[in-house]
Amino acid sequence: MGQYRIPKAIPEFRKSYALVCADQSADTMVVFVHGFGGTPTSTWLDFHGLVKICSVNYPWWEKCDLFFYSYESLRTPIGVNAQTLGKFVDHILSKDATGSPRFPASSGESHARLIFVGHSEGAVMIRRLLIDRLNTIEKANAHKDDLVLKAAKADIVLSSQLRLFAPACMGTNLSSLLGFATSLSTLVSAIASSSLVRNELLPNSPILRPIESETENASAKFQGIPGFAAKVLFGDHDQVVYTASYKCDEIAYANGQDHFSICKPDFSYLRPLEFVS
Amino acid sequence: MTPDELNFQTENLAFFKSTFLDPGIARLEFDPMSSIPLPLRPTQTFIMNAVGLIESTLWLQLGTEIGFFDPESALLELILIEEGLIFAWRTLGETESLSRQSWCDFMSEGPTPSIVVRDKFLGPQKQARSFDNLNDPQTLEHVRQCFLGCLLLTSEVIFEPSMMMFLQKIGWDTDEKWKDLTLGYLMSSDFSLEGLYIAFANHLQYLEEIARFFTNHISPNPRVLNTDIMTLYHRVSKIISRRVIVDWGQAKERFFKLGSETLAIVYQPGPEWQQLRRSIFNQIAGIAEHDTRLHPRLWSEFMDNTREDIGRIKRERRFDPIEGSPFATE
Repeated sequence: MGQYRIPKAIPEFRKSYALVCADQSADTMVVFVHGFGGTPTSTWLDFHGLVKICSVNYPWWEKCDLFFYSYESLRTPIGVNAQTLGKFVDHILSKDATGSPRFPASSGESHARLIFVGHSEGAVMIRRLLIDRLNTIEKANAHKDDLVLKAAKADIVLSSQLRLFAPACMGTNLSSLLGFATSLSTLVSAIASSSLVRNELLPNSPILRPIESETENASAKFQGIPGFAAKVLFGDHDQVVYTASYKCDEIAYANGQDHFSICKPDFSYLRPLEFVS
Repeated sequence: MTPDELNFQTENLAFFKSTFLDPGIARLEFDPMSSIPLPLRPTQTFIMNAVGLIESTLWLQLGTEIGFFDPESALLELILIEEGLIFAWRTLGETESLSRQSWCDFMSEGPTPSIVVRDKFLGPQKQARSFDNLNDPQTLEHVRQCFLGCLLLTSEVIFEPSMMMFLQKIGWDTDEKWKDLTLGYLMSSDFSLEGLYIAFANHLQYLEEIARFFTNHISPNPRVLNTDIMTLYHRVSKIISRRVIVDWGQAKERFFKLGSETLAIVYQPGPEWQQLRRSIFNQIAGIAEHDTRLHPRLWSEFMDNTREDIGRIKRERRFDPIEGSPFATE
């Protein structure tokens, strides 16, 4: 058995919370972002116990503090949610009133390494956040590439690694009610299929298209910034999203998994643990 | 006790306090109607807030029993909220809101309880399964991990305003009020009709998640059945039993009705929608009616209701002055 993690509420961001190493031995923060109609716990609960139980085979997780971000996914536009996600990351990396890091890493300071793990809509938000971050840095540095690159490399968000489960980056196939009918939360999904965000997630929507083009451009232009190229994992039974991604991504498929089970590890499906690490 | 263990318990309690106890007591204290004497007091979500606070202390009790919380600190927290707890318990009794029997055994007996019985809070639980192997470190660890999973799942719904509103209304509104609500007449800016449906879906999802979570943990290895995890499942089921709500009056019927209306809203002809209908029916039936012999009859009624709701929605759209007449050119 690995070391235990203690829960910490982050009430400034709805029902967000963290599971942090009790002995402050972590050097990496893993931020989990759920998808359309999901919640942090219902989406990621299976990670909690398994990273501990399977720590012998996956010791990398021992050095990670886990953060579970909560947001309203059905009615709040993706752009707004991406901005709030940015504030969340800034918050957990910030210092409290006494000047101490809110979530100290093994160094005693904030974490030096960040991994984003997104599912479905959550993946789209993460990518929007990265592009927003780059745009801010570009403006601040008068679009001078060498200065932008230097500043971007120093930014923990842009230097993060992306692990995306069934990302909705190329759009959802929400006309397929069948995709929902085979899921656990059929009722949530049925309601979601008529929500505002559903339109934002349609293929080639005015929300998705710029994220794709800007990410691909940024990835080509700033190859030294790791955050734009993601590792992507789809289930071969996914009927909810289009199982494609950006040119810069590395795509893999998991046999026998659908849109919802893809990010839920169990004793017979430990690939998600390996995929994130 | 090791410093690590003490740190573990202290941090766990801090988390619990901020996600369960503090919001629970705040919602009672800040209730604008709380100074009005019973039986006039209950407000829009008062009964569910009272249920939530009692439920929170039951989680505290169970967590203390398995060493997730330190007993002394837990007792101190209990003392701090005692007044609110008694108030909540008495309200549930006086409004005859729901059965209090065999739910919470540490409140004093009688129609107007005045104290929390501390020995009962810390002692063995009456009419409850007890844990057998908590001396085994691995079992203890597993039980605590599952307990944390349940707490996290519950923290997402307990005292969540739209959820509390939904549960209160589905359980205690009169038929007339309920009908007006589902037609959108009684909605306010902070509780939309869409919010009602989402809260309904989240409620069902929460109950399903709890069940799925235990299914995965009771026997991760098919050859080994973990009896203490089964015990935990029984204890958790008992704690959340009043939240399930379907035993109260007409709530069960309203569950099916809401499911039918949801289906009508997303109606599109074809096999996928038919499959969705079956799936949603199963989801509701799994929670609302444990006697599976009744399912065929309920399914038949559910199909009839769905047809009716689709017809109604089509008629409403046809004559909706805002949307125009989508069927006029057909």
